[in-house]
Amino acid sequence: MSEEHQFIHLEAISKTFPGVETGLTVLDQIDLSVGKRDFVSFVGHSGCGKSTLLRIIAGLEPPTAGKLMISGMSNEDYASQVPLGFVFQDAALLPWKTLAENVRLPLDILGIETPAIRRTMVQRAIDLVRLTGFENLFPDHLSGGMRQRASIARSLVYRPELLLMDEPFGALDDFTRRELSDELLRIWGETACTVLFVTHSLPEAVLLSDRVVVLDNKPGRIREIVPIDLPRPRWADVRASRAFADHLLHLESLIFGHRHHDQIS
Amino acid sequence: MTRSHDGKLARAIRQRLPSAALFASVLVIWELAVRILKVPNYLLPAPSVVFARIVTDWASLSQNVWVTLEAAIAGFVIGTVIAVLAAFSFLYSKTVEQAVFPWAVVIKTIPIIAIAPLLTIWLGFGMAPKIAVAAIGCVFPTLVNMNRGLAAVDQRVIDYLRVLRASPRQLLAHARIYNALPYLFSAMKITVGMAMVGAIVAEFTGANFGIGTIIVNAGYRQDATLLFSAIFLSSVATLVLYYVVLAIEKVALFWPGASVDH
Repeated sequence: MSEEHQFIHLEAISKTFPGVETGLTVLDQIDLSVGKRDFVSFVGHSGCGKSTLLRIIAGLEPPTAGKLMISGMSNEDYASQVPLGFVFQDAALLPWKTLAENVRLPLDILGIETPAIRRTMVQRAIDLVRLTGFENLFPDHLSGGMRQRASIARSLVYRPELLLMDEPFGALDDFTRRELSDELLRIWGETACTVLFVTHSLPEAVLLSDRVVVLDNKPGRIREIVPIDLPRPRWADVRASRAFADHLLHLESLIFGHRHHDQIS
Repeated sequence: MTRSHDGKLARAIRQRLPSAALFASVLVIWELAVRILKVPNYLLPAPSVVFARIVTDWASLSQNVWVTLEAAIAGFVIGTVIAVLAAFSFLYSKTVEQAVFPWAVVIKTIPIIAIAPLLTIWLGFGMAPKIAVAAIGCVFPTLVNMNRGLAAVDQRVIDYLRVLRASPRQLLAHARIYNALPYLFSAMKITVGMAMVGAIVAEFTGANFGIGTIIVNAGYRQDATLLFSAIFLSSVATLVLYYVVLAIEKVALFWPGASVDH
């Protein structure tokens, strides 16, 4: 792997939650390198520790063991220099702030730029996720899909190098979900950041990713890292291609074994 | 204005109609019963007699209600401010919380009626003991609610702000205070009434002015008409206070889905 692949470097990351006698090991010896501008998805059964891995990288939880470097620094040091983007499953917007105020909040907290420049940055982020015209609405008056768009906007407004997304479309209905993953494809193309993306949807993973990390269950271990060599830039219609279907089938057999395969043949 | 606005008003009136009708029919039955059964005024005065008394004694009654109301408002504001400041201090020091909170519970268990005479001895027959009793009644519920509201910020919001490395002060300014506001108003809607009760109770044990003084004196003289007048006016005053708090709440909780009640 080239130097470029060393933007994020995980070495033997393990996480054990204290529990009865032995404790519960959710992540066991995770090794992974991610290059700049990579889009890497994590898939696996519930409880395989993919969300925990993301939270560890974000510094929300410490690993029990292992080494974690971002851009040659500890993740804590990195995040204090270059703020991370994080999109949660349910948007976690602040209900007392309007859409524009929510998108503006990270700029205020980080103390980025002057108020006038902040206003342009906020508008640009809102335009990027196509919520123009809804700036003054409160989260309660936005639909689930719009809230998630807002959550993406507020995570991109300060132009992070690294965007962590923890099942960002998991709480949405199928139509909205599909619409938003198409949107994310476009948005990522326009922003040039590295994305770590946890999802339960295999088509979503194939559509968006450069590589898909398939995790085993209990304890979470990497089973296989599947490169998705669909050409970039990709568009939503790539879903109809033969290569897309092949990747999907491969992932399904990795996760569900050949059981599923046999039934449909 | 618009049709929908008219509809709203009509609906509001329709909603209040049953309770207004109940009130009116109770008054009518009361009036008729007293007249037909010839109940003497010193036992149960008819509503018309009570209202006539309110009109004739308006100067004295309104002045005294006003005195009590002033004490209740002052006590309410002081008690609420103390509770809010205490809740903030708990946020910064677990030790302070552990030291103070059990005593707040103890103070809460003391019947206000029992300490009112003591406060009168210490603070005299003026405004001070009434304000103190009213304030003490307000502290505990507000403290408990405010404490909970400041702490109960959605974990995902806290996680999000942690990702941004927000300082505790930023967390307070952007999240905790807003989160606590609905809890605060929920407490205040209860404590305004308690402040009024506290002020009246303090007047029972010795005061020169106030609706509580009038109630006590009317009781000695078995003047039921005056008692009813005083009861009616103090509940109207409490109701006004309650609606003032409600109006402030409407402005303060400006975002949709804010209220923890209703």
